[in-house]
Amino acid sequence: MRSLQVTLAVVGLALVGLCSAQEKSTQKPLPYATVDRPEFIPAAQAHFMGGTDRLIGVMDGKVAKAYAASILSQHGVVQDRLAAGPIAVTW
Amino acid sequence: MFRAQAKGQALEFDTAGVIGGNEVFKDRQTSSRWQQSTLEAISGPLKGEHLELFPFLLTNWSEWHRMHPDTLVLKPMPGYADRLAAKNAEIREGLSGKGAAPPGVFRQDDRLPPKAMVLGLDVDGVNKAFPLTALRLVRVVNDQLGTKPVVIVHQPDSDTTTAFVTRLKGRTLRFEEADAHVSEMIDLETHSRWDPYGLCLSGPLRGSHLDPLILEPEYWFAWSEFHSDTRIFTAPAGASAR
Repeated sequence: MRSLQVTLAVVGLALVGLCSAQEKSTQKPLPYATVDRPEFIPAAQAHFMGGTDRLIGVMDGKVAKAYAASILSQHGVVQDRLAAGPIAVTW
Repeated sequence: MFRAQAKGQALEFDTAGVIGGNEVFKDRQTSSRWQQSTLEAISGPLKGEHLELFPFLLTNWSEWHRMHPDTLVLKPMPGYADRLAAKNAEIREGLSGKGAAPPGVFRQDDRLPPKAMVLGLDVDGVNKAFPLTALRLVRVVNDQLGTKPVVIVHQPDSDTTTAFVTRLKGRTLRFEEADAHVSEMIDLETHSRWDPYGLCLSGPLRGSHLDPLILEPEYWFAWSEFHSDTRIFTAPAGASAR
């Protein structure tokens, strides 16, 4: 999956040059940078999640945590700390 | 998804490019570089060490939220939320199985198309790839890897796949789906009913848990280049989606 994102990032960069000024302001490339201090919200506030959206789920003791693929794929690595120790969530 | 530690040391990672079409990470503590597909350090002071998979489930929001109504959800970083819809579209396209291997792949194994999605399983050094296309036809696979009897369970509605060791209290269980959604399965030895996450819901084994195995979702080109001896599960002739 990662190589796909690399390819698409390159395509995305190429397309930016064709976009209008207004589109540039909302779609300029963002850094493919790790998330080192992840923040979480309750499910009830996760309005951005659609039913068929892919995610990686883990259990932190009895607490469930969901990492949307659409977020992971923009960062490469999300570093988190669970009761069981540090983890790296990748896509 | 892996434990961010090696040799007792906690590690943090940065992305460090692509080797063999597969992502590489560099840890900040030792500058060792780690191949994503094998979780092996390929250079640096930790060369030869392996990171350990951490149990996770690849599923969709409907299924995860149903199972865990109180789940926490990773919050998008500022600016990145605008891209979620586009990313989800890319991810769906990536699951289509179409397309060529990226440049730089070490060796190509033509038994499956390069971008076919497989669920890789490694049990005590014996590995096997379960192609998603085959799991859509045979949703409950009773198999054996090395000395361990295993079952691979695919729920088509949410595209969720789980795997378990099927030895329980000295007995080996075999399973079949209870319905086409594989919302439950039945073991053929005791006719107990199980959920697809390894918990026995009713019958003589009620309350029992199967030991989970960690599946590795990968493109075929990435799984096969790093597992040259891999076997592939194939659906029997005549199996067809219901």
